Amino acid sequence: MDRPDLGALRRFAAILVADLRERSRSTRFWVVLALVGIATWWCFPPSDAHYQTVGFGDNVRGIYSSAWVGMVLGLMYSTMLSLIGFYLVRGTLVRDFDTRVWQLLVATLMTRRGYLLAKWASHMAVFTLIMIVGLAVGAVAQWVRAEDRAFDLIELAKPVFVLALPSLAVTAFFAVLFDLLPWLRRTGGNVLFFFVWIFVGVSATGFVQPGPAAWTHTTWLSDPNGMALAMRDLYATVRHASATVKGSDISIGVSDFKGKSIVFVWQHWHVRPIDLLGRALWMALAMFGVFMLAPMLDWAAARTRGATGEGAAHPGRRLRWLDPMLRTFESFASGVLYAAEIKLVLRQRRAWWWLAMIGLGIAQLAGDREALGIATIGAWLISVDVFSRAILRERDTGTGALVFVAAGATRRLLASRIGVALSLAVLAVGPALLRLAFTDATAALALLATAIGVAFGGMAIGVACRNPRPFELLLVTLSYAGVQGGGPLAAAAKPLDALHLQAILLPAFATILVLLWPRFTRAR
Amino acid sequence: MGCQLTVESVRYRYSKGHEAVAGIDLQMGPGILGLLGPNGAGKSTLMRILATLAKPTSGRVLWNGEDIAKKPDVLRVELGYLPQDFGVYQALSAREFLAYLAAVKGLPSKIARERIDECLSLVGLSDAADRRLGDFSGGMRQRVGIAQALLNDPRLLIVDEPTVGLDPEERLRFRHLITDLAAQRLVILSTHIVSDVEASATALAVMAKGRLLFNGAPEPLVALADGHVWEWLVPESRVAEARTKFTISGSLRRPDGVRLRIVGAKPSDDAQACAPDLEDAYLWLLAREGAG
Repeated sequence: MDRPDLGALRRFAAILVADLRERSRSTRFWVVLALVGIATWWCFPPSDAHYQTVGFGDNVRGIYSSAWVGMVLGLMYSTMLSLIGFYLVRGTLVRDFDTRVWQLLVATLMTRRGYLLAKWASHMAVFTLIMIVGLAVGAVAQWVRAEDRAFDLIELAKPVFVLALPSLAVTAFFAVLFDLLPWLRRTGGNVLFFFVWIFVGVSATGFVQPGPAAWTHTTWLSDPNGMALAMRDLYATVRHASATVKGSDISIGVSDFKGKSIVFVWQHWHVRPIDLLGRALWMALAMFGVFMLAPMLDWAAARTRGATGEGAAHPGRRLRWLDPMLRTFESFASGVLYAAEIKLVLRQRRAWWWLAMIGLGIAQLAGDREALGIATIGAWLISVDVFSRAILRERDTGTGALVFVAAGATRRLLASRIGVALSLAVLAVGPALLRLAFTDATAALALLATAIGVAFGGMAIGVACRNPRPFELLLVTLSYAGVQGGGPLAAAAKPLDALHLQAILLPAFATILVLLWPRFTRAR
Repeated sequence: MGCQLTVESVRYRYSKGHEAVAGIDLQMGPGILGLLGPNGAGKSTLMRILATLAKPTSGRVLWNGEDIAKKPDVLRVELGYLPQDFGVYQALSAREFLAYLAAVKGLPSKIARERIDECLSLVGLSDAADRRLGDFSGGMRQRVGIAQALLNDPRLLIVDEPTVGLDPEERLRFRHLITDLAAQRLVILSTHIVSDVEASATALAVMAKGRLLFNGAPEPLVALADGHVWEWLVPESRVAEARTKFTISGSLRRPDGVRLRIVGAKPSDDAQACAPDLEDAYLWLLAREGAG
């Protein structure tokens, strides 16, 4: 018999290894890894390119030394991967609950804390693998761009692990937490995490202003993303490279510019032991958080579709008032399908959704133009699961073998799904449409086109990825841009831009849907 | 209209290389075909091919002379299918769910309403028709599955492990229902429970490791085991040893020991020959082919 400590370690390792095997044996995992490799390469444009991904202002960046390549990767991963990674790794606990594997595990000597920590470690292992791939691509980029070919593995890897690892540890904690809370396991959690990420990012930016706040020059207690540390040390160097660049001008993402980029030399990042302690604190905090979740594990596991039929597939409200409204449709076959799909969607809406829709409807009618725009985006955002999941219903409910053996089912179901998604996307912004129809016909038309685009986009991306998460992430990102008056959802703010964009997107979405839906149904 | 289903040299190989169906030929007409086989025999894969959910890697399946891989809708309009595992829409009532599936199958609304009532009655769910599926037990959901398979009054009814999750009373009701339905249609009943097909099947097919071991009426299969079934009374202390040496199809505890029913060579001089039943014959066939 094993000694207790070794037994616990073996159980931990077994859960971790099984989880990694389960993930790595899906095509999606390797596709994502390949995409990360491609995206990493794109982070290091040639010197004559007119964009940069990490730098100061629009066109100030470090020369491609090992230290700068590492810093770019560290900042990109601590910010962007901490968002996208959540959508990549989450769901392993829910899978254990839904497949009832949990019931097998719970009857063993495994401890709740050990189980949760193994899941968290599995998330971290995935992140580490991604970072290693990124480092390899970064090393190749440094060699190919040939601005500084002196290779220094420590300088390359240091920022990635010092900046990104604690940030991703926090993301992994949220992935565990959101899997445990039944109401955050699906779309609700996917949407909420975006705002958590924004909150963390915004707090970080407010927290770190190297110019005005003198203490940040010596700080060691950083934000989760490590921006405080990076900006503290980068600012000291960059102010010599360009007099016009401020310390708070750091840009992570894509910055376009005209002319030539200004480069500065960055060959070493001095990290003090106390800085490492600050970063380790975030790792420890994430692990502590995971430990603290252990008491709720049994409660969470009992609230699953597999165990009780609760959770996302709850029967919902009866909504008897819908029956007379839909009776007209039920007199012909395709109307029956449409009516049933509408009932399915609306019955599973929670009370907060109805209240929010009423509130957003009032805002669309009574608010100023900006409030109208925000309310339309909000109405689509809180209904995102309808657009992202409607086309995947058979996969989610296991009804594929019942419906796809019927003659003509592919065509009939697609027609009814499109009908329902369009109805909801348009009805969600109905008050705004009515109001704009009398005051600004172009804006009304743009809003209508955008509503159709949201409906088709959700279904097309859902069926192309066979997963609702990419569209959910896209819609929350576009919503964030939209409430600030930019991006394709800002139809009320920029109607002509929206119309032009939808003229391109709608045919593309429709083509994807028509081409891929039959293949999706055959794959059941 | 006829209901002739022909399976010609059908093979199915998964992308990982495992051959689930290894060249099957079958000719089926009206009646009940019981498809028997141990778990992993390839029954469900063959069922999925017959239900147009999967295309054979090679070979073809003909429904009244039409290749169903090329023209699946020719079969689909006359098909009722109950898969081994299926889900339901929990927010809909049983009646609403059946109305939804009737519409997917393209049934006109008036006919659909009549058929839904008939099918709900057939499976004993008339009283629960307006309760939502989220409140149904596993057995009730299985009966909804059976009802949906009958909605379009199918000429070909394929049921895959249909009695899983049913209690003994429901199982009996299902067997009677299948027997009643089989008069003018072809019913293919896939199971690993011999008693499910014993009472009703007019023909049997036995599969193991993707191959067809037997195809014909039940009587010749039973006759195959003639002279290979024995009853042997052993003390309880020797039962474990007997299990390792012989294929045992049944056992009955008696005051003087345990009466074992053994399929295969005569286990001992004091064993008595007895008449085989379908279960014995099935086990004998699997043992003889090394597929048990």
